This record gives sequence, structure tokens and C-alpha cells, in this order.
Amino acid sequence: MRDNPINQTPRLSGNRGFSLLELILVLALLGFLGLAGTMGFVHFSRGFVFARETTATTAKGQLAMMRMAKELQSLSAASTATPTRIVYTALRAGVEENHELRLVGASLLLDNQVLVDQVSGLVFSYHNDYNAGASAWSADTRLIDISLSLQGPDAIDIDLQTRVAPRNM
Amino acid sequence: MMIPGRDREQVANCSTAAAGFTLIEVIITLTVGALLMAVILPYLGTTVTRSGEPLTNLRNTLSIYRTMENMSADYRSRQAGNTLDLVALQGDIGAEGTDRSNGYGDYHVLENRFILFDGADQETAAGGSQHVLKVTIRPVTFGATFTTLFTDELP
Repeated sequence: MRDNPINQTPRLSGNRGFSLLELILVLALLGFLGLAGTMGFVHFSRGFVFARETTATTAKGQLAMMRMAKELQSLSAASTATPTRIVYTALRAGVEENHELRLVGASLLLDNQVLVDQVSGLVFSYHNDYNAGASAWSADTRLIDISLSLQGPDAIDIDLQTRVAPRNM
Repeated sequence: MMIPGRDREQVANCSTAAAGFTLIEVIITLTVGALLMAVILPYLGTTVTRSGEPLTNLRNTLSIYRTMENMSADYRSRQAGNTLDLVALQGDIGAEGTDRSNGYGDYHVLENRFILFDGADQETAAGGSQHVLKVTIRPVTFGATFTTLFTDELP
């Protein structure tokens, strides 16, 4: 066999190309790998953007919750207290100040300044004791529950809850 | 008819000059590439996989804040009802180093002891005095730590 020139020629030429089958296989594999890689990259990018927006919304929520907690801690009296609005007097360093927290559309306002936007839900509820259910605002109210929902990316709500015991009532 | 020796030499020359990749070479390249990706991906991926942590942390912090406000409200109720007894409050909050789940909330007690302040406003051991109760709690898992001082002073 080794002595057969017909058999030897293709091997010896050094210019043998790829066969059609090899080419098709390689193209198909490359195409598949490229597709998988692109899809992975797209998913990763989406996840990254989602994570970034969630973190940004979380930071806004943290700021709003902590500010509201500080505000309501110094509350000494309230003239209006509904689930979405509190008009109150705060006692700070012996000085009384009047403030208002209210929800207008998707914005939570503190004295008409936007504290946080993207709000999809806000509920203040009032309790007379730590283990009592919610009741209407009265002079016996000892705790204010704050429940805030912010609209995160992909229409996902970020729910935050805490409660405050006003110190000056 | 070719000379066997020359034939071999030509085949050898040819195969080095126009050699493609052998199967082994391709497999090694793919394996190394896959290993590299496997090493790199987790690092790229933590931005996504651990992205929920800030939110969990905030929720835990708000929850422990809620617990502390419950304790404060309870303290103020007892104060208003003239039934304030710091030793009873200390008992209700729970022993140091334990996880608690009760009406106040779910929390871990780090400190729950009576303290005093010396002349230089430094915290010292109470030594039997029961006028200032120091309470430090944190969430059972992870998150912020809160400290409150309760005194037996009546308003």
C-alpha cells in the first residue's frame, strides 16, 4: 500500500484542504459555542443591571426609613394621623417644630420635599402597646408602624417595615 | 516505486510543515479554557449572586430596630403605669448570649446587665446598683447592633 502513488499523493502534497463535512462540523460547533456564549453574556449583563438597580432602590429605602424613624421618634403630638399622612409636632432640644409626612402619588413628602420616590405603597398604623393590634391614633398611641414599598426593577416591590416609639408623647 | 527510506522522510517533513491540531491538543485547549472560565465566573458572578445581601441586611436592621422600639414602648408603658421594675424588664429581655423569640421580636441578646457611670463618665460594673440597665441586641443572623440604656427614673 505504501508504495501506491495514488494513495500517497494526497498525504504528501501538504496542500490538502478540509473536507466539506469537517467544515460544516466546525462551523456548527463554533456557531453553537458563540450562541451559548452570547446568551450567557446577555443573561449576566441583565443580572448585573438588575442587581445594581435593586441596590440603588434599597439605598433609597434605607435613607427614607431611617429618616422617618428619626422624625417620628421626636414626635410629641399629632394633629392628623392617617395611614398615608401624619401632621405632627416634634420636640427637639426643647424646641417644638411642626412637620408633615404624606404620600402624594408615588412620592413620599416630608414638608413638601420629596424624601423618596418610586413609592408603590405606604402605610402608617398605630398601636397602644407593643403586643396590641392596630387602632386609630389617640393620646394612648405608643407605637407607629411604618410599612413602605418601593418599586424596584422588573416591577418587583421592595417591602420595608419597622416601627417607632415616639419618645416625647 | 519509491525508496522506503525517502518515503518515510517525506511523510515526516510533510506532517510537520502542514500539521493541523491533533485531537489531544484541541482537548487540552478546551479543558484549559473551561478551567479558566470556571475560575473567573464565580468572581464575576458574586455581583449578581450576592446582590440580595444589602436588602437582607436592611431588612434585618429594620427588624432589630422594631424589636428595640417594642422594648422601649414596653418600658414606657411600665413607666406610665408606675409598675417599672428594671429587674423584671431584664428578665423579660432574656439572658446574655441567647437567641430569643417573643412578643418583642426575634433577636440575639449581646448585653443585658446593670451598669454605672463613674465620675469621668466611663461605664463601670454596677456592683449591685440597679438603676441603669444596658441592653444590646442584634439580629439572630446578621445585621446592625443596637444598644439602649433603660433607667429607673420616673418622668
